[in-house]
Amino acid sequence: MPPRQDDFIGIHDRLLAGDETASSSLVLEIGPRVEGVVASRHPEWRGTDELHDAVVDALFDHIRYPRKFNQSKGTLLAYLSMAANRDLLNRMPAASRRMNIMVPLEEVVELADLPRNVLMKDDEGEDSGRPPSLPPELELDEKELKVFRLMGQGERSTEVFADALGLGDLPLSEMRKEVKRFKDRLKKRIERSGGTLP
Amino acid sequence: MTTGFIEKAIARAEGNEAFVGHALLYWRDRERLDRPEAAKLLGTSISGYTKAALCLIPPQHSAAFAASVDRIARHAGCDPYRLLSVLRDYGIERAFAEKYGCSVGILLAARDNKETDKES
Repeated sequence: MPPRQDDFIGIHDRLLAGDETASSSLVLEIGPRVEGVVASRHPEWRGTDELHDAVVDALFDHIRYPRKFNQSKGTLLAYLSMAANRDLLNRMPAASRRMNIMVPLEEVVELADLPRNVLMKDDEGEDSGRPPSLPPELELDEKELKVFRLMGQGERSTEVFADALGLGDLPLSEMRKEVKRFKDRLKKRIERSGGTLP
Repeated sequence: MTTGFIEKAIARAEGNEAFVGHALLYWRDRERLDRPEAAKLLGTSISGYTKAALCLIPPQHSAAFAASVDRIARHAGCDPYRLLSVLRDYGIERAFAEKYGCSVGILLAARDNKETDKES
């Protein structure tokens, strides 16, 4: 099978190389495509602030942490679309989320034209084999949602979690403790309420 | 045209000091310019202004600063000298604010007070 063409990899490479204009190209050239993919998956959210915010979050996260993207796992468009899709699911009101969260993620993969086996492996989760989900009755605050999203994205860096929690100024050892404490507490809450961990 | 999405992206850049948009907003506040006026002074269109705003600010003290600003100006189709001046002013005032522990907003307020004193 020939290697899959990633039309936007040049922009990613420029971002990695420190080209200051790459962020602009990313937002203006890939952003609308990401928006299109996510909007076609959730037509009822097309044109809404929530969808726009989810796309902008995915793009700006990538500008900040471009090295998290692994080219061998799929295209940049698919990676960003998945991130925006996950973000949007977390923004949805509980009832709407319950309807959408259980839709297999491979549908998103098809929209983004990614190799199905690669993304399925990435997103199924090592333990449960099921996509991460939040029970509708579980109310998470902004920090908890951020951490849940990061866990869902496979993030492992303590610094990234600490940044999301506003703990970036703590010494590393203390940062590790605080992040671990927060994640453990969140995991317990999700498990107790019947959700699935990322 | 996905206006809503791009507007949000610009607002995000304006709120993040890593982006040229943040420096442009600071300049606009100081000079009391709206976006079309700022674009005109930069010698570009609104679309060029957007392109510039979404770029990252190059490190101020690097030897490549001017070359980086030139690259941004070409990307946005704007006047490189004007953009250089905006980014330099912003960098200087920001460094000053950091050194003396005040925000750039306080410097703006001080400037405004001074102008009010002159007028009265």
